Amino acid sequence: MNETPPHALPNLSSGNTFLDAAPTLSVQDEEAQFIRQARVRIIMGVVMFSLFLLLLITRLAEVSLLRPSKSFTPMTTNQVKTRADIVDRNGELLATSLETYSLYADPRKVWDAVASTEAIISVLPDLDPAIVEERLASKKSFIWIKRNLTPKERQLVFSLGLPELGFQIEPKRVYPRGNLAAHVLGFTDIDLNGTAGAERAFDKRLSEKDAAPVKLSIDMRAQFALADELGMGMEKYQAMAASGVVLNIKTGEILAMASLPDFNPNRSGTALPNNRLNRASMQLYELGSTFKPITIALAHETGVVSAGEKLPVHKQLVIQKKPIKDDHPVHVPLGVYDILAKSSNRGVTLLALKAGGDAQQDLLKRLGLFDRVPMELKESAAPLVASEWQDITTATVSYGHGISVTPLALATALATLLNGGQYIAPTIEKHQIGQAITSHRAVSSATSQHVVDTMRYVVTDGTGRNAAVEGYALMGKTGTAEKLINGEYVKKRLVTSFVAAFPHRDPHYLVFIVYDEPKAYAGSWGYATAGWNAAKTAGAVVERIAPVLGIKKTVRVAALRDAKVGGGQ
Amino acid sequence: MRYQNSLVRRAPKWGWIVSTVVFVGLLVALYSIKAHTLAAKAKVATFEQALISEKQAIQMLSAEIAHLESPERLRVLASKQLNLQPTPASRTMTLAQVAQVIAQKPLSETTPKTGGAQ
Repeated sequence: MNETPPHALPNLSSGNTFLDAAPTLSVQDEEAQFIRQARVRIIMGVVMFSLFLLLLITRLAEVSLLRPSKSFTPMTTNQVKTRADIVDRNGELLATSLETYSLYADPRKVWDAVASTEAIISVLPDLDPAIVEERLASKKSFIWIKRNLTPKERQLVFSLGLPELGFQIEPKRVYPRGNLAAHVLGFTDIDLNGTAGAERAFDKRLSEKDAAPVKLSIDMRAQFALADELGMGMEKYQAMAASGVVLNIKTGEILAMASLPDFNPNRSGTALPNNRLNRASMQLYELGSTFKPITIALAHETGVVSAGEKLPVHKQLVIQKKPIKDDHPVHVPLGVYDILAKSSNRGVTLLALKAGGDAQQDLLKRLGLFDRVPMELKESAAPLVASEWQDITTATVSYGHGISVTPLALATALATLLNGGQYIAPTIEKHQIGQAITSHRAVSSATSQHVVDTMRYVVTDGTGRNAAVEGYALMGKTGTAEKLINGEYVKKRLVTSFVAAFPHRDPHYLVFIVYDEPKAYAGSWGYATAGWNAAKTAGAVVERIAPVLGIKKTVRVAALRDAKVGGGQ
Repeated sequence: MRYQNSLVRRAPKWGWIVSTVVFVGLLVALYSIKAHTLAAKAKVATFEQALISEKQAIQMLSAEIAHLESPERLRVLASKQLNLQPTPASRTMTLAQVAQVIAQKPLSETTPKTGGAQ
């Protein structure tokens, strides 16, 4: 192979002389130029198309793969507020929320406000035509026509076919038992915010998402029995109002609380304020002699009276120029049992004065009678107590005058005296098994037993005989107080009350009944005092609720043996 | 040598193609999974909606039952249709007490004189 020596060729690297001197040949290839240009255009086109394609793919990937998908929302429903149910202690439904349809309009879509109004009024005649027309003629984009329509009303409106009308699903609070326990349950406003009763007390819990039903301490059966007996009593005794409480002495649970006249919480807006008032926990009364067991406890606790000692209740008694009188005057001195059984004002006054005002105030404080009842319901009134505690205050308070408390407050205090002396705050929420109960000692257990026995004596031998129920060994105390009107006690306007507790061997339940201005009736011999009305109602309530609450009746077998066979007597 | 060169030259091309196919395959799989997930979500939402509707229906029925079982309503019906009244305490006793009473009574007193099955 011959190789050309490097020196045979002009040395191009040594200098530019050769190139400078060389002639240039310029060849113009038009075809190649066109191809080159076309290639550039094609490349540019491909690049642009690729970019566009890339953009599309990127966008597609972003939309389909990377972007988080929106949650699926059906077209037919709007966000509906929920509220948990309220049930009684046995799980019976007392309040629930149902979905209803509310009618709204978009006035911008209205062609003829007058014609639309006429059409709407033809199917919803309870609406005010003037208001509907005014709203439809407004320039707003949303107005309510009527909320919470019935299914029938909704169908009628739907059949009108007016394009400006629309429906929104709204929840409505429903109380299927009607008036039953209305004051305890309370009610909500149209936006489902609790405004009274348990609805208000447990508003936060009830409004939580997926909240469990709130279980009240109320027993629907006891509640009905109480309300039913109070209603019958109110009619029979022509009372202005009535209220009652059933308490579990051992746990503080309120099993029933009724106030008459009552209302239907399904139509709370139309209820009169007088009917909405929960008299059991909001009305202050001078409750009279139902206070006397407290004075008996005071005397025993302070040891101012010895066993078997008799007090001169037959003698005149004047405190700070005010004579203390007895409704059932006696002519002999009485012991503590008889003082309570005969409801002697003089007797308890003497006991209270012996114990002293300070000890009395101290006991009343321990029994919670100087404060509002500490329970879940906001409807709990603070008591009216004398600002200056004189001897006359000690005397009058000993028999339930000169101090105004709610029936629930006195029921709680008396329950304490019957519960071995342990004060337990009342509650409307059901106690769970094993749940700790907060309590404090108000009086000794010996004092408590003393009160239990004296109150039993009231029913067997005293003013509470009309309350006696065979087989349930009731304890009780009557209370008749004159109402204080414009600073003066009015003889004919009474507040009568009765506290009953059972069974005597181990007090478990307490029933407290109050009648506001009851009248005498045929068979009452002209009397309208507690023994003739409140005591009878309390007995009737105990008779109905004791089997329901599982309290066994004590039957004297000898009595049964003598009874005739057959059930039709 | 030549063959090796051609393989070396083609290797990146195959790599690209395989990567692209795998990438596209993954994209399609991802898209398919997402589409299925969305469809399942929609189904779940439909079921949830149906559940809410059912719950509402149950709620409505519970409210109706509660209304029908209302003690006041039953009292009116019981007294009107059946002439029933609340049982007085004097007519109640526990089973143990019944046994006690029977044990105390002479047999002749507890046995009805005329049979009850005629």
